[in-house]
Amino acid sequence: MSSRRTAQRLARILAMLPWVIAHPGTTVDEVCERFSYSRSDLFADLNLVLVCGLPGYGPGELMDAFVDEDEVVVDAADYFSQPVRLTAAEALMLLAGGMAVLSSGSGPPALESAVAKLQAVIAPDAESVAVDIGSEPELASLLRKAASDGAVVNITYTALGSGDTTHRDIEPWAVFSTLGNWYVSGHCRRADAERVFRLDRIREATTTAQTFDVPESSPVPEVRYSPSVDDVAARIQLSPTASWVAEYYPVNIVSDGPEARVIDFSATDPMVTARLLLRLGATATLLSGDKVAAATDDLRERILARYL
Amino acid sequence: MSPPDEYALTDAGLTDEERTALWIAATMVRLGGQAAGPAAIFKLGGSPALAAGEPLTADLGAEGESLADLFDAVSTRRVVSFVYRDKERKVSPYGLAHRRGHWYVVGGTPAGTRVFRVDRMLKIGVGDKPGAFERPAGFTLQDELPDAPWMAGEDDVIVDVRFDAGVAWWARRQLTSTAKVTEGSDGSITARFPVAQVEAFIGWLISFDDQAEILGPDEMRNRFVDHVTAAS
Repeated sequence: MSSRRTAQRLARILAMLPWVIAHPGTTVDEVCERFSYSRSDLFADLNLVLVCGLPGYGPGELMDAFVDEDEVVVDAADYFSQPVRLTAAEALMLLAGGMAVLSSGSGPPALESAVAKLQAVIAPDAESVAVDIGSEPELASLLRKAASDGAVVNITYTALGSGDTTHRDIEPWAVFSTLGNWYVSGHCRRADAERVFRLDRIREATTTAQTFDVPESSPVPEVRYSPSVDDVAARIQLSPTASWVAEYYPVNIVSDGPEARVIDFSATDPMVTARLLLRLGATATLLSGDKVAAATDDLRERILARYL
Repeated sequence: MSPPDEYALTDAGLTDEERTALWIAATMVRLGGQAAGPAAIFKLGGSPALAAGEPLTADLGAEGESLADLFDAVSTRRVVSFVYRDKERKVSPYGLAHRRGHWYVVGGTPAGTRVFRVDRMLKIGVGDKPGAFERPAGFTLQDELPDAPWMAGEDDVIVDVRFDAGVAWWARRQLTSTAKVTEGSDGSITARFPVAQVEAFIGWLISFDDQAEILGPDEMRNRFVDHVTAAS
């Protein structure tokens, strides 16, 4: 068994024991459902617990763990009656997840009270963590309903890269939020392919009478970069101040050092990279990429024409 | 052998319904490039509906490891050190917050309470001493948080920006309530608003290509021109 699987197994045992101790009379099915056990895995873990205990490891120090008819019994295990503390990463994940869903306006009352209780025990100061992904845009409910009903939606969309405005019929699959922006994923009938659209770039959306078969499973909704042979590539050197680019965007890191990081950045439209370079200013240097260089010069000239 | 108070989780008193709500929410969110595993909810007592997770709906960014360190520093009141905008800082972290796509640390500095964007913090270190500071009385995290990235910083300038008719609708969606907007007869808008982080403001303005222009102050126009000119 790998060390990772061993650690996961141990973590589940250390979580399961306190709950069983606190709930005498619990059944095998209840424990399996609550802790995602198969019956055979639960029995294996109880057998393992049977040979564990406190130093000394004599009969008086070992725990009792067995199944009596259908009841799970754990005895002589007071030392394990409390669950292990959450790690900082675990605590943050639970709190941030709960707060994110609440901030979108779609969390149930039970989530609100759960977040409050959890925050009270893991963070001593009130309001020491806050997550706000922004309430769902008005369009989100229209698109979610269309996704659930299988209704085609006509959108007027202005692309981020080219700035072109188009009218498209889309079959929406999911509405989601990534890094502060809301998106809809789905099948675009105009492109006859899967596409992701940023909601704040949709000027208008109308549900049409056309329908589509809602897919039983659609790709995980996320903004992802799918490389294409038509992409425009550029090699860029980042100073430490601009090194965040490599974490924020899907890039290939060519080399990495304390003074500079070199990345390969690809995009369908060179204007996307040009905007990034202008935004980074003197903290980045374009090493290669003729189309990107030309797009950057063009954009810079157009912007400066308003000022000079 | 460690005494229980060194490892044991304080009982949060969660009901099954609350645990399930928490678990479903955690599976809907991705942090540090991944969604939550079940280990945390197991520690809280498991959930009778572990398989009921909804599809992922929110991604809170990739800074998982540094966020966990910062969260630990906030929870245990340890001082953090880091490099920010080329300066070394020591900050008492009063709170950690995610707003509209970015994580921020709000903390005490010799110059008062300041806001720092986590993805701009380099060489983050957490002090050894727990309980190293007290939060100021009356501190509220929400009051300190910026509504937009250009409002988190130490700069202090009021800008006037014109957005052409073609992008006015998009600018309106991004301007915060602090902006005073005037409509032009040609469909353009002019907005006056405070900027506390000039670099973030310039970066945002570039997303409008040549369809936005800083009208004033002159110092900000010049700084924008210098920035764009310096780009390679």
